Amino acid sequence: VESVTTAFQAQAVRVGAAVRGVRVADAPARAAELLRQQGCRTVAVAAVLPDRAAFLDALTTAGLSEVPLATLSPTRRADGGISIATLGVAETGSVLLHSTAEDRRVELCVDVHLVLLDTTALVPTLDTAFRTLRAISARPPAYATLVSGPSRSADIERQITIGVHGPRAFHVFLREPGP
Amino acid sequence: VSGPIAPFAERYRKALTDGQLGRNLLNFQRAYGAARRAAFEHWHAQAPLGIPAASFAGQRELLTRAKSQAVRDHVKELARFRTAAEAAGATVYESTSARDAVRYVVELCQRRGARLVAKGKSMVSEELFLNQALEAAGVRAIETDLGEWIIQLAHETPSHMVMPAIHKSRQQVGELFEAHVGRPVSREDIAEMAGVARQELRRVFAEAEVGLTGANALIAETGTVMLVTNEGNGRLTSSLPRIHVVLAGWEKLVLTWDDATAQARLLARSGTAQDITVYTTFITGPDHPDRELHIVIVDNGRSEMAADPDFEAALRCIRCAACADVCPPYQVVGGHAFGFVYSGAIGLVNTPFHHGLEAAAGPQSLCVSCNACATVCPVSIPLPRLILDVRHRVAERLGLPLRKRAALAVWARPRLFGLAMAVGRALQVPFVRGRQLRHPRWRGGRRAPPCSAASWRRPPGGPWPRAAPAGSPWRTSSSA
Repeated sequence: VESVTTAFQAQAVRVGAAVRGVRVADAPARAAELLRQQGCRTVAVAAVLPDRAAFLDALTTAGLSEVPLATLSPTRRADGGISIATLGVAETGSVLLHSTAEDRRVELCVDVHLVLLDTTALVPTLDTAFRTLRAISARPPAYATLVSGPSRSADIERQITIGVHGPRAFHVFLREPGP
Repeated sequence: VSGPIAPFAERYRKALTDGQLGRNLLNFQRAYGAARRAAFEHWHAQAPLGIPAASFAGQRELLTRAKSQAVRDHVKELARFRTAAEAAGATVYESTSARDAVRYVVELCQRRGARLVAKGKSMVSEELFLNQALEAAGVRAIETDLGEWIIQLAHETPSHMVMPAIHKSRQQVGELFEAHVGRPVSREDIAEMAGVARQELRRVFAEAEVGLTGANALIAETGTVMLVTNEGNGRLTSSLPRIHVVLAGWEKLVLTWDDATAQARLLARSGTAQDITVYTTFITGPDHPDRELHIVIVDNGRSEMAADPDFEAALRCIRCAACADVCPPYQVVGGHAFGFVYSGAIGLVNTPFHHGLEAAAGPQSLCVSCNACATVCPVSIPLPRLILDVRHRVAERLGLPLRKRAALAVWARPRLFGLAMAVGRALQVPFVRGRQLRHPRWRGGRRAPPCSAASWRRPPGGPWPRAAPAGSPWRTSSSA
């Protein structure tokens, strides 16, 4: 388990993600602090987050305002967004986001994206990831994405440019179970 | 494209006289080669994770087998894909021709009252000239991939399947963007240019009624579309407009998620030298009862390829463009000289089936049979041999140009050839400098070896060999 965690961290960093280990209980306050440091003033939070209320409280405490999901769009964006991953894949440093159309806006219409990933949801390879997904539900989800780092392009002179249409910063909180 | 495609000779001349193009592409190919090697080498460091067949050779064997089976069983597998996708709520349309596929998309836009289509990168839509048809029907189609948007603003076609605007310098892109947005844009800062696209295209994602994308794989077992992008425009295009249209050639079929995984692993490393594309999306039916997902299956010559035992292998192609990235002639002339959307080695092989043999008649002559493409193809397509097959068909069905016919006729007659060389030696005297042949009208340092006094066909001091006997493979039909 430890080697998969280490491999995930190394590979996620290689693809341009920033990874931090946090305890579950500390995650809301740490998230608010990180997003504030990143210059965010407005934040959208996915509806599916089990402890969503705790995150909203922490944002308010940190002086950040919430953008309701219903108003989020490409032209009415939030500075930051918080989502939760179904799985993390060490092979590619990816998180698997398996979200409703509404929650997906949190992944698409923000500049700084923070994804919560429980260490118990880490798998070594893509093969094991898809096998696990199959075990979770008989039918594949309508819309699932492996996200590996921030949005990028090499379309001009093959020079890598970070932050084209998707988020320009991509953070992962690896949540350790326990207090 | 505002006008018809220029003749090959004109495209070729234009590319050769564009000094910047060759330099841009040489830099690109050198950087690509090193980055690709590094991406495959990184796999060795990941051995403890237990990735199956984690090497180029091993993974290529897996994927070649998987794609071969999908091509062979495509009728059955397409039916399986269709059943599963429809069960998930998608509409699958198997178009009967290029025109029929275009008609379906245009009529869908008209029926739903759509005025604006946000497009993700789709090479199939370029193959079908879909944008022009949409514009003609009064529907605006705006490209959202950075490279595709650049060439749309420049009224050009893609010169590369993965990086459509790789032929343009940052200065050219800056100029185009400045003209489009009407305010100063840097000619040097690529991040600023990407920022212009980010800003300008947000409105398109918000307002488009239809999002149109290609597909990287159609997974038969679950009716799932796999779509990979780096910029995130594919996810925006497939998530925000109420209607999502997927346009895909049926050769994108794979049987299982395992096969799609093998493809994702090789596509990223071969295409862009990444370990994985930033966004690898799997779509199985519409994600909301109010949304529509239409999957338009394109044939346009693919069935004819599948029925041709020589060319069936070319349908394994996953459009990574590695064959263009290592191709020496591609480095010199770029993708536009190839004429149609598929450039590089694979373009010389599949263009005759999508656009007719005439379309490949000129471009096939670009191949120098160096075999570089075959060494990097992640699905083991015997590209050099297939290009020679195309060359054979071109010569057989369309004939050779007069000058080439005359030259080959001389070459087939050893005595006449010897005489021609003797004449050449006499005429070349004023142009030989330091054992090289130069000509005042040859540009860009072109030079050739002078006509030789000795011939490799005549042993030193020996007699000229006789013409090849009848029935010899060396004897052409015009040999005396």
